Amino acid sequence: MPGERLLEIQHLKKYFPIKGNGGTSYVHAVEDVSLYIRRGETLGLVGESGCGKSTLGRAILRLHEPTSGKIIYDGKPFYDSEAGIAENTLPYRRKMQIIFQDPSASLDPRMTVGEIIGEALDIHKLAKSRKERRERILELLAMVGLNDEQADRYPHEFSGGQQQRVGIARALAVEPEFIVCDEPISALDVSIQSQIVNMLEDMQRELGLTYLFIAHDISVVRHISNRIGVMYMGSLVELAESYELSDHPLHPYTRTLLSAVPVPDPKVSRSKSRIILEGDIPSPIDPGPGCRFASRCPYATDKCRQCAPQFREVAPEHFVACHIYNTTPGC
Amino acid sequence: MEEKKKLLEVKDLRVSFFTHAGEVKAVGGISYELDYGEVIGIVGESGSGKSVEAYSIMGLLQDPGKVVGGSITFEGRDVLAMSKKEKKQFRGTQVSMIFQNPMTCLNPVYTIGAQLMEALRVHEKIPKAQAMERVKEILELVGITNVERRVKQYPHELSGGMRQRVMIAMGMICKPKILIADEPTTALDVTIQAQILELMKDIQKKTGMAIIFITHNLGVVAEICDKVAVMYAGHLVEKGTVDDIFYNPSHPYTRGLLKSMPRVDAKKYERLIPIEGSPVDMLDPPPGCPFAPRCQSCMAVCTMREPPETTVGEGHCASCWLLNQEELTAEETASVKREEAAEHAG
Repeated sequence: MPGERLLEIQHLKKYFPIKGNGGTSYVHAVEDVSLYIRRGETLGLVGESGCGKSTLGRAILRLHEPTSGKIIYDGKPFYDSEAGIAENTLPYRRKMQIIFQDPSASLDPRMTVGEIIGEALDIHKLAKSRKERRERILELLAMVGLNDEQADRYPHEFSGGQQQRVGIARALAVEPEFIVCDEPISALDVSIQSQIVNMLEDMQRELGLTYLFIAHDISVVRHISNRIGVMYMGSLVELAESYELSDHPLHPYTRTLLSAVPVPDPKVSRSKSRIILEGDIPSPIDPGPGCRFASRCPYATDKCRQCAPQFREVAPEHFVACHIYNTTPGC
Repeated sequence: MEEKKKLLEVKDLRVSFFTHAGEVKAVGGISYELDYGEVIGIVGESGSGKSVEAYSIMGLLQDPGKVVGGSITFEGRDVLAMSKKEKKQFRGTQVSMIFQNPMTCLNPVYTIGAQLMEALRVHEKIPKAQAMERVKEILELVGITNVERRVKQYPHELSGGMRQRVMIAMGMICKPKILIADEPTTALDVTIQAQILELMKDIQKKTGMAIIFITHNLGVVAEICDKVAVMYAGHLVEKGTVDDIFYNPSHPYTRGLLKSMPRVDAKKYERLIPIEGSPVDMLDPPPGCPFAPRCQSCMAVCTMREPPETTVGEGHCASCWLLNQEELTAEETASVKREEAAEHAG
């Protein structure tokens, strides 16, 4: 089983147009990203706000229609801009689901929790009778640790952690194989975060789920993921097995990101030396040629500013897009 | 009595909000001290009362919030008894505050320079040209380059990290003795957060001001604080030096928090140990210890009576019945004994 690719994306791009009086410019939200996710694994995606990690997650599900590229799900093309393929999304929604960041914003305030979960069953006609539908709703609630009587309550009657549980139950209702977890715990209190992380791990084991886990907190991503991809300004800059990535980070940005995370251990943080980046993330609107990180990178050369580095495998299963690790001349 | 005066002393502070749904005891009796040049971290989850406590030091509590008991003493002066005029002078020159979201705290229609100058000239009668010089100096201190241009810019022209630097500059411009920082890095990205923390540490060293750092992030606390106070549901459950809190946590909540977080430097995968249950409903808090319903070591007495503060080590206190069995009544001691016996039998 391991090794089988459940989802693969190739050269995926998503540009958002900005219409101004001087013509249209584009925000390059996702720039030429290629990766694959194996069945049953968790791929983590980290990066700072605005780096395109959520857009990538949504573009994979085609909640944002990609600008170009290829999405292959379970061996079949789901989207292919060259071949002109854009499959009907409805059957794929049963296989691919999403959990959102803000649980209170992603649940309809005027529907009870039972109705919210039931709607997913109705759309895909998964319940034959009212009784079966009700039973299934209660079963899903029990799976996420909520009880029967809570089915008839409204979202505002729940705490943030419980609302996120409802969001997870809704995603699980259609028995998906693949779930995009888009910052599922960032809006929750510290003491609740670990409850949700553990629950997602249990669900994965019991139901054989595959996750794309998007978060900005690299400690959590490292904990839950088998492999991690690091994004910067729309591009994937590094991808490797979780511990390999944190023990041997190659890309200068990954190193910065890892050293910036505050460690809850006073002795460690006193002795720690940290890479402090100058400046802020540049604008993603019509970026120039060259490496996106060049303007802040301490190792940047003229080559970096002129041409973008290729995303290549430099060690087994360890990919990086940086000229430092490219010994062949030219770009 | 020529004892050296404490910079700030908060004693049994109680703050309540009188809402239409009932009284919410946002802060239920907390005490701590802050010395000159010290950095104290106040840690807690949302709704634990950490910000409300800071607002009451500043005198910024708004209706329906009210201080209902206790005292706040600043260099021997009673802060709660100050008149409006005294408070106005106190804020800014003695204690100032920076907030989580710099965009909502800066005025969008004034330039950075004008806003900083206003903050200064409210408290000090100095000519404009001289004030501008001070503004430029302080902006350089907080690591803003190209100051001549920056003072003419508006908040929306700056990035999030830059705005937070301006906020810090504004908080410091009248050289306060205490800076209260309410989640100053929460809205920022990690790499920008690292910049701001580095800056605050640097400024603290240069100026020697004390900082009250309010946050929910234990990593940030380990980074910057000397002392820590851990809050849960309006109560101060544990306080001590950073080393006490991180290496010898005595309250089950503190221990739970430390265990529930994944660490970026963990050597191998270990399943997280969460704190079970939900946060306290502040309109209807449980009797006794507020953490009792979620506590692994909960005893019968915990659900009946609030635990008193117990000294664990020098300057290290925690409020938990596990640490203090002397004050139990005979009946309560019996119930603890019964539970222990039952546990052994089980």
